[in-house]
Amino acid sequence: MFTGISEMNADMTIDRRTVLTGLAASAVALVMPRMAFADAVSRAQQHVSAASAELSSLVNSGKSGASLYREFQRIMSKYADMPVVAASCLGRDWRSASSSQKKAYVNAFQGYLAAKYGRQFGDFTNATIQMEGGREVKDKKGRSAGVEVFTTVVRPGQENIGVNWQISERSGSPKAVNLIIEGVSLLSNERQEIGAMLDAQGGSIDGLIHQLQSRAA
Amino acid sequence: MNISKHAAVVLLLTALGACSTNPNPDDPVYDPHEEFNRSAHSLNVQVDNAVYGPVSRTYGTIVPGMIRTGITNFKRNWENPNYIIHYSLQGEGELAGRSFMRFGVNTLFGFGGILDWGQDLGLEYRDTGFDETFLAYGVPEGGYLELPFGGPGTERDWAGWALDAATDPVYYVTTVAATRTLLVIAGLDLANDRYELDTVVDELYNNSTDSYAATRIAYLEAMRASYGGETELEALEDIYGDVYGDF
Repeated sequence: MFTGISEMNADMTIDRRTVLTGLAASAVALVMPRMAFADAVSRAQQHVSAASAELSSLVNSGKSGASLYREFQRIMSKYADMPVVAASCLGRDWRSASSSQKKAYVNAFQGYLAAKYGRQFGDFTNATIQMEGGREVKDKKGRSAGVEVFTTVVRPGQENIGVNWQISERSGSPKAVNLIIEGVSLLSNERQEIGAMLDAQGGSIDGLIHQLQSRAA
Repeated sequence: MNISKHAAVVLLLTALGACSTNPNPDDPVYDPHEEFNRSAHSLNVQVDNAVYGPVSRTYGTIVPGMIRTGITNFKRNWENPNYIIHYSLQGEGELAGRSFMRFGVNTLFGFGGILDWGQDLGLEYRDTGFDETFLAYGVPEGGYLELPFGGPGTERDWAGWALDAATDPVYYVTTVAATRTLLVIAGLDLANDRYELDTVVDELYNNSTDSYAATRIAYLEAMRASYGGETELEALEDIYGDVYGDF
């Protein structure tokens, strides 16, 4: 009977220790990813803040035409992972391209994008970008899709525009991989446009590159 | 006008019963009427280039921003009674209450709604109608449907639009003169919308390789986002996984 109690005590001690260790472990397990998560979210937010500051000063710089587009392209390649964005917009055909075609395509894509969106900068004079927080996101297959940072573009006398930035650290540092403007994803729209251009060129990647270059001005 | 309104209601209720379900939910685009839509789209682009665009740009250039904003505010204010009904139907008590407060504040202190004090009080404008009520009751979005002179939409959107036009309580309790004024105001607001979106519309209509498909995806994504507030997770992709993985 005595032995029994002692055994019971021993069991309880072990139990308590196991429980405590278990608790400590799960506390660590609970806290660690959150800390990492909070860091990724705050890094993403800092990244968006820095990009916003450069974009705001470009919008109000008074630059226009080729010099505006050139500067915009520099900011894009600094803050966004343009090769991956370009590849994703080309889709399966990226695989069949030669490495020199890939390089030429990525360059032409950036020039095209800078001109296309740079043309709309006039709508954003004196606009300010407000940070509204961020969250970690997953894609449809459950893979991490980085962090979504929410911002509101406030324009004097005009409607606010909700702009969400998808930031990924897969390249080693935070980079934008998509912009979602009032729910409209830049990636899916450009994928549509690049696909249509490629069709119009009869599927020729060289033709597509040429077409993109002609739209960069 | 009443007869045509009622005809439209009957027609669109029938159409609503036929709101079809996307057989492939992974594809964000469901377009069973593509042939019809494409011809409507090319007409709409022509009408936009010839009339709607130029008229809107003239309106936007001539009329000062403050006045245009006042007109938009006024139009939106008188949509509040309809919003209150629809938010109630959707079970959105808080949104119904906010619309009620906006309507009260802006009507009493904003010259009938020309000034939007509600916005400053944190009661932001948010529109609703039959489209969102249908959504709340599980009516599927239906196929993409671009109507001649109407622009992009879905089967559900257009059914909702026609019912909204036919059932707006404001038109039933105001005088004929007030109704006409509100219709003119609505027309001016339409011109203002087009003016403020000029660069975006120009890009979609005139600078896209396939202007129909570009408009379609932009419309569908914006429409879906307008209900939720949060980005649909499907819109966020692991593009590295796609580019380096399996596409």
